[in-house]
Amino acid sequence: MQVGGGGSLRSDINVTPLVDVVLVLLIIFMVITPVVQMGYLVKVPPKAPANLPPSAVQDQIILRLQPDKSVLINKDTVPLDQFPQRMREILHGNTSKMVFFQGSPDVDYETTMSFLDMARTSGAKNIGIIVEAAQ
Amino acid sequence: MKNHRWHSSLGKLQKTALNADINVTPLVDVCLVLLIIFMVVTPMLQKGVPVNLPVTEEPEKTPDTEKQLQISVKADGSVYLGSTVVRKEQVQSELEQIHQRTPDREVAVKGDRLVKYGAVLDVLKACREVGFNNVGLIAQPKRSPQGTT
Repeated sequence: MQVGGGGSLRSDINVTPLVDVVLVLLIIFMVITPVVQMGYLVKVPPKAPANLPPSAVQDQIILRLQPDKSVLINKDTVPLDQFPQRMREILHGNTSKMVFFQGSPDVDYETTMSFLDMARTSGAKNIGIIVEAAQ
Repeated sequence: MKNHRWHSSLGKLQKTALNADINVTPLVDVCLVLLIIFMVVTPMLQKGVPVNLPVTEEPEKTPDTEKQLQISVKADGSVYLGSTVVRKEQVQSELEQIHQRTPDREVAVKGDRLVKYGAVLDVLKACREVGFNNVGLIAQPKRSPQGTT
């Protein structure tokens, strides 16, 4: 009955590769979308009461970032490359891992954040920001 | 295929071929629409105003929840509470109002990398005066491929 060959002519576009590509793109976008916000949780402690016992003040570690980007741990100047090492030594027996940070208002924010990051990775788990300007 | 071509179950002659393929056109439609939605929505997901966050080595996760209050400091030093610009002198009074309504909110400070630390410090000072003691300083991890988040 049929004159031609057995197979019938199909005029559909083969959409399978298109579906593949679209699904992969869709999955990529769905994965990228919920990018988690990253940052540093710090404390901004309220003003200390005037009659603070001296023992509470004694053990405090205060990091200062000077306008010339040098670093002070309490009163000692520390070169930046030795800073992580020194921090680990200081915080070794410290249970609270609390340090206070006093930055200079004139240093740019990125430098300050890199410094905070360094302090954090060297063991300072609790960082308190001192908002008063350095003397 | 060939067998079905000429007789159906009712025995009548039927000239249309039986199509055993799944019709994928609606699937493609839906996928394309979803794809476009995601492409459009993705750049808008950042809450508040766009700032170039400082790039650091290893920030921790500070997920942005509903109760988090976003304060952004743009490169020119202008301060945004959520997505509304606030004059510097008014930051504290605005925060005061928010603190009275919802005292237990977390604050996320997004400072531009080019801004001076002093500008961020002013915001932190206002936070302290008002009573928000837990603050997240938002940064961007170095390994992230995205340029502005």
